[in-house]
Amino acid sequence: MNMQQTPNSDYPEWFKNRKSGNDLIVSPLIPWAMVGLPVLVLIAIVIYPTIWMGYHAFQNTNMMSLFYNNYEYVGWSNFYNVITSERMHESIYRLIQYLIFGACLEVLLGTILALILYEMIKNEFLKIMLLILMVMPMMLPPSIVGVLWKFLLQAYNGAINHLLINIGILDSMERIEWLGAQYALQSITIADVWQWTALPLLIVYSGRVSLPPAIYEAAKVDGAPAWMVLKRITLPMLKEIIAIAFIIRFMDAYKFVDKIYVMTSGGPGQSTELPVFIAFQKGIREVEVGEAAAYAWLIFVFAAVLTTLFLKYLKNVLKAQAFA
Amino acid sequence: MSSLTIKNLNKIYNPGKNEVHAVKDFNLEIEDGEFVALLGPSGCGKTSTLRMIVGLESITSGSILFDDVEINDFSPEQRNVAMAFESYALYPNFTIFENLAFPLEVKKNSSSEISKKVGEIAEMLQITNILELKPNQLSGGQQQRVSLGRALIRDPAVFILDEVMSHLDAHLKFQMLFELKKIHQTLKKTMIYVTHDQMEALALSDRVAVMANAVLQQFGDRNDLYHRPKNLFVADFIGEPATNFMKAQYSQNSTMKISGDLQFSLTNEISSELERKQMSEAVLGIRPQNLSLDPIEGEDYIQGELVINEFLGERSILEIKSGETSYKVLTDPQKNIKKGDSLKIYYKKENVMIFHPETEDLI
Repeated sequence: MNMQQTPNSDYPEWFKNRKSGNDLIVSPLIPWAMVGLPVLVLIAIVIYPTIWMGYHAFQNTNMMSLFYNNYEYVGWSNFYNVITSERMHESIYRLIQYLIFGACLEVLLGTILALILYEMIKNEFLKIMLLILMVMPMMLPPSIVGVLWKFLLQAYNGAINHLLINIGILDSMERIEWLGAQYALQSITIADVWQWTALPLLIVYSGRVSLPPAIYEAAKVDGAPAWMVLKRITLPMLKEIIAIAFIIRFMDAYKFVDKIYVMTSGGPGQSTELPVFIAFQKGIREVEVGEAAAYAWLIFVFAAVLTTLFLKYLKNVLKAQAFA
Repeated sequence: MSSLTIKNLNKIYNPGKNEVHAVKDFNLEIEDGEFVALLGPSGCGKTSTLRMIVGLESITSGSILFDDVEINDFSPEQRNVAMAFESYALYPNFTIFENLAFPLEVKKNSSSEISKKVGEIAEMLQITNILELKPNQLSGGQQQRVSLGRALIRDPAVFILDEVMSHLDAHLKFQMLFELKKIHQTLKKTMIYVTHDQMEALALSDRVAVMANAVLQQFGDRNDLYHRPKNLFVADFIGEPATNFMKAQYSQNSTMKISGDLQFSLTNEISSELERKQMSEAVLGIRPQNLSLDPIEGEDYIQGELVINEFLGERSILEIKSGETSYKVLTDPQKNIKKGDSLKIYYKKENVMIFHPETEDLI
């Protein structure tokens, strides 16, 4: 019909003017404009700061030197300072504590709850309602969860202490300083467990749902008791799924800042600081840019190694299951 | 070892809303040591029946008895049945050895006894060289044999085999059928074999129960099913190629008129039965195997024109047309006839089956 249409007819249907039916005329600049803007944003907020950070990790930059532009090259001394600092060592020790009592507990509790929910609750409606109920904390923003638990854990007028007094565990004059130096990290961990147990729960639950029912029927016909089925069949088959749930929580742990910021801001003193929080504190609060950059690099390397190992493991798991 | 009796068995899924009546008034008596096949098309309720026997599905009404003991409320373990699954259902995290050993391990056998028995079974099923592998490293046929082995390793009252040959290629299937028959002859255990493949059912079993639309159609040996099918469904389902069916009118002097000149003679018993029931219309069925180009096969004949000569090597399937009616004839390989040839087709009166047009029962 239209002579102009034929030479470019390999364009798809949507690439034509709806009214005239002609091919759209595209200026060669338009693709550049479309890709260019996001690239500019990326350069501005990711690439440039990263290069800048890389540069300043080797300078003695702080607020004053940044202001007067007179920082100078100091070699690896920023890294040396970070690695040898007591503050860093203590924060790594706390990170390990958080991993054991936070991430591990979440995965353990999540697995137990998921299996109880799947195996014991027979009523489908009840099952879904309980699942929704248990997943709800995960839907809240972490900062809100932090605020919520900060209120609950107040020494005076906090609901938790009131509860403990009412059921007689605490004397009426006694108070537990939940957010004091002694328990602050544990309190944050409790809040985190409350929120994130649902993630391993969901992962393990969906893993259990996807196990073939015929295997369980075979075990039933073979006459295997329930605990034997759990020990010999269910848990070994969920091993990889549980590991993946753990790795996801583990990878979240090194960027765990939100609840610490809201609940204690790293305090009292420096008693709840994790490595990332120190980097944040150094860079944004104290404007010790050089040292903060060194922190950021170390955390980046740690995360990169961890992620690589994780991806390698995941690949092996997928390879092993590709046979099935 | 035990006999198995099923009385008025019913299974209704989702009672009330969206009710599905999967098994209707099912009655069956299986003798001790018998090999019985449960045959039927997909969705006929054979798997539901089997799952009720094993105890994986609750029984809506009726009862199942092992040696005159009602086992309705027994768990699968108490019933002491062994089952091989269509989907193999091997434990994926176990090696083949562990898979075979698991039923014995559950029964707390000693480890030396376990390895002895596993060795025997592996020998019998020719899987000794793969005992250290995991199920996902095996081919479908090997997995099938392991799944069979896991059922055979126990000493159950009844063996249940659910479509265990469906994933095997034709060659291996033939070999396994032979093996299974041999195993049954050695063990002399009651076996129930569920399948939708009539060839497997007829080849293996002493008796076959044919199911369709949730109802047991006929229970008998291969002779009964082949020569005295109870109704149109069984006549149609059993036999390959399928039986020829034609609408027919009864006319005097013991013949059934189909159309035009095409007519079949009947035996005296059938024609007197038709006269007694005063039926003028019926469905006539005759198996392609019972039609022949050779006059030795029978003295009566019909005439028709060859439409297709399907040459299958050791035999031929001919499609013949007489007037408006076409039907199939299974013969020895025919090379010298071609399309359009007029042929005389011989048959025996006794092989003509007449079915009631409404109830579809054999007369």
